[in-house]
Amino acid sequence: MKLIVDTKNITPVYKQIIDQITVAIINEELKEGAQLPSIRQIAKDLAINPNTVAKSFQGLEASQLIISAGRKGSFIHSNAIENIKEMNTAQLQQVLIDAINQCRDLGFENQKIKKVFNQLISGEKI
Amino acid sequence: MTEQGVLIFIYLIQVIVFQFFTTPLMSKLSYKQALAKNKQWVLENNNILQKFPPPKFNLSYIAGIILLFILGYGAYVGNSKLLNAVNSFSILILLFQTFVIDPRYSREIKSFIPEPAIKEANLEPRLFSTYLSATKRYVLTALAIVSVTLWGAVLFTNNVSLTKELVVDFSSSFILIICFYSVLVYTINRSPLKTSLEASKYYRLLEIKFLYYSLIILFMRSIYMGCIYISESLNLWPFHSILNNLFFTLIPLITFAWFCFDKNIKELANESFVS
Repeated sequence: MKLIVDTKNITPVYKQIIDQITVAIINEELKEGAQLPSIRQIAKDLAINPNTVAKSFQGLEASQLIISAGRKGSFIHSNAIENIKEMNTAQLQQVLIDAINQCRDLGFENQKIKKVFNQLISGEKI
Repeated sequence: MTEQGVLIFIYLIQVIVFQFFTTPLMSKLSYKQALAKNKQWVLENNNILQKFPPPKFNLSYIAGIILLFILGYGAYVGNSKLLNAVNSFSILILLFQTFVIDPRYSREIKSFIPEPAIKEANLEPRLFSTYLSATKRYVLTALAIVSVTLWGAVLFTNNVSLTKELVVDFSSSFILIICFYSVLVYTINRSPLKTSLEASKYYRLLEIKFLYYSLIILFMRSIYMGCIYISESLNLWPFHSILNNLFFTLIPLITFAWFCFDKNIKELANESFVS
């Protein structure tokens, strides 16, 4: 799998790496338990600072998507896909909470919000 | 002139020529050449990153440094006070050149090389052996097995002084290779052309090739030493000292020449690209 970073992109390079590895895990391009190249190796290939790659790996480790086993290297977490799903669910909840709060601010009742939401989900015309 | 005298004289000439003339001259000329070429690229190519930069110039520089160490080591083996003095002084020259003169050239060249925005890397873990073809892996394994077997045989003779000598010899070769490798990596890391990904691919090729050929030298050397020690202890094979010294000088040089012309290190072509 190829890792591509664009240094001119607004998204920071470390975030680009995290996003691409996350997507690769979901698409099963990187299988659970698979080993990743070392931080130095990736930094060398991309001609970027090793600290940038280390920051990405720290982020992935904090999200329990990879496990760092010291000198042995970094591996994809055995529950990586489930963890991503949990993370995504939490993100979905947050997005919906924000949307519901906005709707309430606009003066809609719960019944109306539910009705519109169900219509949108089922693809009906409002 | 005695045999030892002839050897010392040859080493002295080699050390003076390579360490005081060839290496500094190669370095200076190569940087000037790179500067001239890079200026030309920037002027001629709007999309300079599509072009392969000519990092070949660095090979001569690295060759100079490696020769310096080989000959410096030769001087050490020659064990003459004069040679050691010349060698020590030439190392000071190298340090001056490395830390004071070359960075100045580097800064000048760097200003002409843009950095690519889009960069790629392979996400599969790689080991040193990943890059070696099956033949190269077999050669290394065979040499390692023969080397270890011979060492076992020497240890089996239970000759304490011989074993000590062998351990010292192998360790010194190993330290020498570590020194070479460190110089190579240092040279690569501060190279102005490293900003280009194509160039960094080329440098990784150099590193891998260097490790491969260094290991070959190390194993061949230990095989040769093992043969000498065993034959000497059994009074079977009286080696002439000039032959021994020629081996120490020629084998690394021949291997290094082989290194320069061998392009068959696989899979690097798919590693990283300039976009």
